[in-house]
Amino acid sequence: MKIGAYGLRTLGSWSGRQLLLSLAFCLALVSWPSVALANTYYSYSENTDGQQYLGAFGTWQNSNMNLADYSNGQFIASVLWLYVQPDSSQWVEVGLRNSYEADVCNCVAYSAFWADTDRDGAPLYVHTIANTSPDGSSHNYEVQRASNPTYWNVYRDYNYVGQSTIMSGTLGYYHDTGGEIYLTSSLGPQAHSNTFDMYSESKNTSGNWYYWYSHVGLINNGCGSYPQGYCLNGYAYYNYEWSWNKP
Amino acid sequence: MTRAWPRSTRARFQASAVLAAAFVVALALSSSGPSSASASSTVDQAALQACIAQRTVNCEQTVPGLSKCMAQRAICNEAAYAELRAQSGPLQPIRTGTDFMTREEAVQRSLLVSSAATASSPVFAESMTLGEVAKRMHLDPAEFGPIDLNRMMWLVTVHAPVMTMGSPRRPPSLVAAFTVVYDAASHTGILTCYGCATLG
Repeated sequence: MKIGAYGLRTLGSWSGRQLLLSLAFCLALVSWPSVALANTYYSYSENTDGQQYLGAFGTWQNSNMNLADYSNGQFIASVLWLYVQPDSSQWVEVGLRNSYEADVCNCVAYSAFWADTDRDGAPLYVHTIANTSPDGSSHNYEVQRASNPTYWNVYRDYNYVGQSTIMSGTLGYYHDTGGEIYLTSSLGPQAHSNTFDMYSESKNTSGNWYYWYSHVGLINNGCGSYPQGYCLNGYAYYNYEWSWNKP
Repeated sequence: MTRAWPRSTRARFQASAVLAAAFVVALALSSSGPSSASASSTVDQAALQACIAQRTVNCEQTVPGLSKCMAQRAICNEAAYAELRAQSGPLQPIRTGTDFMTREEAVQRSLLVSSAATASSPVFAESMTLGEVAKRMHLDPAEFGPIDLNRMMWLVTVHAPVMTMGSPRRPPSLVAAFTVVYDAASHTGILTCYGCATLG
């Protein structure tokens, strides 16, 4: 568990400075009622073979994806997620996203990244891998358990780019892959993505990689209520291939 | 976006003048050599590229030496690493005359991460090596992959609300603070932790 993150602290152990910072946080919430409360929209596929995993692998191209407005942390992404707790509270994700990155480059960046969390996404550690471009080139992304069974190596194009060391999970329980749109408004024509063809393999506990042979495709957040053309699309040509886009 | 610095922030800048001078010296002394990743000669690069050309298959079980190379966390795909290095500022050598990121730039960019951050938000910034960043954030240095642990960074914590990203299985949530780590030489953010109050 990482220390220094806001977590399960008791009020009695807080210093005066921490209390002041917490008060500042509450005041900020009051004075900024529109604090970027987000809606997330997904078109993704999940491996449903019921196995447990030592790794997750995906290949897809750098397709164009964009938003009309990148303020308030809004982004569009194409990623894989590997959850290492049965309750999905710990995961590693790796892939591409397009967003305004004040932190990375103070620009709208189409970047490769990976992220991990040991507590339901808060804190969430987002690591930049590279500032790339939607040039259509294919890349592969992989998460694989390291020699220390609670550590998970992250690779892009078979090169090591980082290691998740914060989680306690030793096995993957869910392997998902697909598109994600994170908006502070309803999903509409302000978001667009060309098609991502995402090919997935999982690594079983015998150490063998295999193409998915069963899956379920999910497009969430009530897309059916939106006018045609506003929804995320998703289609599986094979169990191991998920194609998604956003008209 | 232009922000007026509050008096307290300005005072912190002045108080850190000595630290800033030390930072410049440290930057000059910091490593400009290759990253900590090492090249591997155990992988047949031609065989690897032929496998990659098939596009969808995981090559670890078909290219001899690849799986072992990856377990060693070495450079296993030399062509891809060259491309990665070109696209990643923190993997590039530090050249003489580099215009290093200033504390003011690090703070101002961090304030832009959250719409709820303002010039009056409590902000704390310190310069240190990446190895020291790992210690301060209680992270294993391996989290930072092939980036040289001797490179100088800015560690910035902003105490202002921000939303996390969430996942298909977990909704985004609101946290009270965030911390950003910048590579000073390339002006690139290498890590943003939503929910970390490392400083302050």
